[in-house]
Amino acid sequence: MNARARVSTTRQQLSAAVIGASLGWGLAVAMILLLLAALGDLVFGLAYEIRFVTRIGAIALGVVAALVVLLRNRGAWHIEGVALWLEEKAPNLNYALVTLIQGAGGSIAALEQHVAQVDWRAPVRRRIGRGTVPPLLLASIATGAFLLLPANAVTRIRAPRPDDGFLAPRGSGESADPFRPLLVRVMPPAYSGQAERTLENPIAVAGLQGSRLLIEGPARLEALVAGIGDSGLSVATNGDHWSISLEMPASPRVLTLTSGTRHHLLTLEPEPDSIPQVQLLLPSRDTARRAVTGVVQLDARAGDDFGLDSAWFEYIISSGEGENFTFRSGVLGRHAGDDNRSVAFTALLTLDSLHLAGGNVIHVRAVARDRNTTTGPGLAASETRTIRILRADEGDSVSVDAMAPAQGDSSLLSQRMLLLLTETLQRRRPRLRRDTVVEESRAIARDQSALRRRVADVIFMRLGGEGNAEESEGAEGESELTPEALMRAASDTNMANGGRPLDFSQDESPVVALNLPLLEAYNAMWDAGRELEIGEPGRAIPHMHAALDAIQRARQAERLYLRGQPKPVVVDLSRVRLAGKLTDASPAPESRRETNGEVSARLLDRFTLALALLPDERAVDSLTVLRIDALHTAPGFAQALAQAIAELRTGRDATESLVRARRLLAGVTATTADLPSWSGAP
Amino acid sequence: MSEFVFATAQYESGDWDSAPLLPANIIDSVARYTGLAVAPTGIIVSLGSQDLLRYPLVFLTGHLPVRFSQEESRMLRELIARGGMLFVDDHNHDVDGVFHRTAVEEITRVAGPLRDLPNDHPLYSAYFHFTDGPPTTSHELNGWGDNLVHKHLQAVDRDGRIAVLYSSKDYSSEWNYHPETKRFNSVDNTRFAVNLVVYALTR
Amino acid sequence: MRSPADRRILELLLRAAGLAGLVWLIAGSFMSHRPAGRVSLATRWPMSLPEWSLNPPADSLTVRLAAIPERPALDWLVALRRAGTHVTWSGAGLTALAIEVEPRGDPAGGVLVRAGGVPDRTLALRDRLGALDSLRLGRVGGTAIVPAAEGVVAATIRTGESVTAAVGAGDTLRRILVLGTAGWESKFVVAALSERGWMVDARLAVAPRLTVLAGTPTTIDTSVYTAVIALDSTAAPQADAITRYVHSGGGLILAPDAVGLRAFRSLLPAGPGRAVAPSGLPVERVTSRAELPIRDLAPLQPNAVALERVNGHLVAAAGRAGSGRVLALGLGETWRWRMEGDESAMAAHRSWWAANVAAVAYVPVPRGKEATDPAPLASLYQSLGSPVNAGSGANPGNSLSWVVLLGVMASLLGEWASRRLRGTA
Repeated sequence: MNARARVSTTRQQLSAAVIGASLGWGLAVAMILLLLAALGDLVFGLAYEIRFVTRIGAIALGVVAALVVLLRNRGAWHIEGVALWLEEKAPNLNYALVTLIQGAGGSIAALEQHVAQVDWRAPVRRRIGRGTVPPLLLASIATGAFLLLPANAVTRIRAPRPDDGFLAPRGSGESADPFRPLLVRVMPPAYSGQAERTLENPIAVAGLQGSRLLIEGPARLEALVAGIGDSGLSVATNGDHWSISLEMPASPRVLTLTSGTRHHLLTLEPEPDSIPQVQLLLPSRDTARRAVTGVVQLDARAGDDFGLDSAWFEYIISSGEGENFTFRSGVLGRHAGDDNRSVAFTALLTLDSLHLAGGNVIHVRAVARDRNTTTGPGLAASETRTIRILRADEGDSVSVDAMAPAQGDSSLLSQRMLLLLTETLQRRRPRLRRDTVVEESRAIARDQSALRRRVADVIFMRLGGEGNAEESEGAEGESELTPEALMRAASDTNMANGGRPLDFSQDESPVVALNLPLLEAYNAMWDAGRELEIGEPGRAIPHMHAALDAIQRARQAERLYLRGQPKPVVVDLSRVRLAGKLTDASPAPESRRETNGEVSARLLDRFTLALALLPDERAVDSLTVLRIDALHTAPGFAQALAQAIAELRTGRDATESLVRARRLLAGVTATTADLPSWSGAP
Repeated sequence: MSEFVFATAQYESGDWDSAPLLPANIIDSVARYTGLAVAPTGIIVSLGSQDLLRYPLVFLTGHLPVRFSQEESRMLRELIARGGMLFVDDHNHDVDGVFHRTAVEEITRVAGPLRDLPNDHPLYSAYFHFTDGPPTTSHELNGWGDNLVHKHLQAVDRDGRIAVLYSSKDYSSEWNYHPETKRFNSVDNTRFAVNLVVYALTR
Repeated sequence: MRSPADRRILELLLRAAGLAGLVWLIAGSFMSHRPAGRVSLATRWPMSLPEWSLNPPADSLTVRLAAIPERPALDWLVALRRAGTHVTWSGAGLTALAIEVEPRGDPAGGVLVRAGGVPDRTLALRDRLGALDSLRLGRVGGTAIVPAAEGVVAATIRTGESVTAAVGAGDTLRRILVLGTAGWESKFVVAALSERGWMVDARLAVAPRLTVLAGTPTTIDTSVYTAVIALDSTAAPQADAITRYVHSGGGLILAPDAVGLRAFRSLLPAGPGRAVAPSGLPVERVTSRAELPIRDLAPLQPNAVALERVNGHLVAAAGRAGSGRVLALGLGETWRWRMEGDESAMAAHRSWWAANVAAVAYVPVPRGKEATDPAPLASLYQSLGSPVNAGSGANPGNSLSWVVLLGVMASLLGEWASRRLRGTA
């Protein structure tokens, strides 16, 4: 066998050894990791997720270790590398072997002869032994130790499953806590799209309201009874484990597991599915429009935490006034949510098809429904916008309503009658005696005067609702105001004085508003009445025409009052005070309301009572129930309490957590570097 | 000592001012039957304004759909949380009407669900005794509205007191007349309003 | 010294001084041990207590203290004294520290801790559960209102000395009577106290001879009510009963509209004062207590305490009347603060009224079962009397004795050195 053949054989031996070492180290690393995980599981009871990751990690690290070994010994793959290594291990080769392998020249026979005299089997054997024995030995020991662990522990590491929590890592050995291990599978409702979760030995189980819970444990507990409050739950036994199936309750509750004299508390904390959030983008504000035709763009946005089922627009059309209103409603722009968490939807509100009339109000809002099929569906609506259709006679403001029918109509008829009477008298005048004309003319003047007083009632709106400006003037001619002065005062009131009340005399109620067109009619009536009084019906007729025209203008004029300013009614308290019959009055005593004090004080009382039970296990139960009650009212305290409960259950020192919980609940200490002279003061 | 001021809520939707004479009538009754200090006129307060909190008893009525804005909802929640009370009356006296439907929806959203108030509730004996529960209105009897005589008022309870009182009986129409007219009535139909005020002031 | 004769005189004087000092020390030593006894080392004497109990060391025993002894050791010494051994103590620089703990008259709980001791020291407060807070002492002491404490409260300074006091379980009375006219103020005072956890009875006048009763108002007596709150003149007809109630230990709060009543003049800690802000609906929103209508309660009565001033006006004053306590308030219409203030106003209004009640409420505190030592130095003085030989130079423990001893040694050394230098043996 020449030198090259010998080196080639050696290369094969070394390559096999490197492969063996690589496999050995990979296996050793993986098995050591698995062994450590199994030991950790035995001591602490590792969660499924940790065990799963550990297994993957062990394999990955084993592969990495094997690759590293292969890489570090890559020289064994090449004949030159092996020859160099042999030159290093057998110095008496004097580079003859390398020279031969590389064909560098020289006498081949002499070189062959020199190499043939050197035996390198010993260093090769040592190298193979040192490279392969330690890793294989380590791997064997780790594997043996791993397999010697309890079967359950091996199974939980070798093939972790979400539902293997009830397999006690210590095998058939009894746990100190008979309720451990406890496995809770949380299966959220399908609509939520959330993944199923498995919790091992949880203190509290949080999950979406409506989730299905499967609680499992090893079937070594005798006569296991489960219940929430007063209601019991059925416990099913299936081979080596028991299970309870229930739905996540609507409010936080405590699930009690009882076996003989031992019991275990598990808090169930539902997370509610929020209703959708809906925002109406268009129309962006309340509007008013005159046209009953056209299109109104509706635009809205909706969002939900788990997805929307549908969204749409709703409208209500109200029509009528006073006590008589009618309503119509409808839906448009229905939009499928397609399970999206956020949707934008639009619609066109076609006014033509709604058969609107002046005074109608359209109330529009956007509505959305979520996919909650267990406790829902959650329905939510946006703010409402109103679109008001103006009446034909309404144009100044959207916030005004028409006044009640004015009394001008009756005045109009009466004035027309008086005008007809006067014109008839004027036509008959040539045939009548003067005194007859004067008598009939004065009779018309009296009617004209009466009509003028009625018009005055309409003109002068007095504080307290008492009109009768004319009557307050007293008898005719007693007024200190001429029509001109009255007109001037009225003009001042409406323009210059900016709404300041017009006060005619100190013993009258001040006038708060004037109707200017009717005031013109009033003045014309005044003039007509004066002419009629002196028996001149012909001269009265133009004034009476002027009054009639003014009344017609007043009738056609817009008479508006602002909403929100109804005529104030002031109750005369001194007059009515205790004027009613009190014989029937006898207030019943009020039973005292239950006074539980402030929430924090109540919780603090219970917290103190629970602490007094420490180190008894009952303290942990009390704290667990207390935590449930504090979840909504004092979430920070509940969180601190959760940590304390976990520490107490695992036998750790919970002092710090309990002190922190108390501080969160009770608040901070108030200190002063003084001794106040009066204690307890605010 | 501050006087009691009767406040009417002005809200953005609907005809909040549909019973303008009702406040004076209630004020008249409070003065007529009690010695409580009361302001001679009522006041109108915006439901969405901070001023709402100055009036722990607030009256709300109307015929039209009720939709509270965000600010109105917020202030109403605040009023109730701090111990105030809202009295809502359906001026339509119609449980199928839009005021009823929308107001109940809004109240539920803001304050919680309405429940029937038992007819032996302390409200009915807070001052005068109404052994049959809420007094019937003429509008319930004359066939208007939903043609029903409502046996109960409804309320949202908060810590053992009425936080929101809801009526479908149309007291807004029944009490909406000038107090001077009261002398022509054989029985004063506003006495229940005194119970309402005394209840709000003492519970 | 120029001449040997002078040096001899000096040496003689030094020798004499040394000998005199020695005589003084020996005599002082004999005098301090009259009759014969023994002195224990400061740090080890507690370990000798069992031995002393079996074999009394002498007729007299003086312990030297570097720190205040624990309560059991102190009790042991007291027992020795009662068994016939004359036990005295000495020690300097012992830290004076005292603590008082009492529950507040408030259903929300809370403990009032008052501490006295060396100014500027910081106490660490803790209870059975753990650390509570720290309290820095001022010139006359310090006060802490601890929201919650349980069992025994201990206050410790940095040097390790501590004092302890039991919280006790007071708070047996929980009823308050409110008298006033039906209105927003009475409603919300009742509401605030009820929310706090008090059981509130109320008589609220609605009309002449017509009153709304809340709860079950009964005879005004200290066995029933922790405090009575008079809101306005409707309380006047019951002024005599209220006065008797206060004199027998009850607490009374007078709101501004009741402060001015003649019927309560004899109880007033201040006032009756005058209104300085018009009542009626303020135009502006009330956002704080300072914006409420004010009745200035000045002048303050002798022995009364001013508790609060707003813009220079006295608005809260407290004083004693007989065995009871009376608080006069000058802030009216507080319901506006609750309703119109910010989001914290409701809780602040509630706390303020609860604190007012706590300021006058009498809460009997039964003694706790726990062994405590609220004032150890005072206990030491009470148990063993004043320290002995505090100023005596003969006491070996006295620094003066050491000075004299050093002087004696210096004198004798000087005399010897002088003689050697002179050449004399």
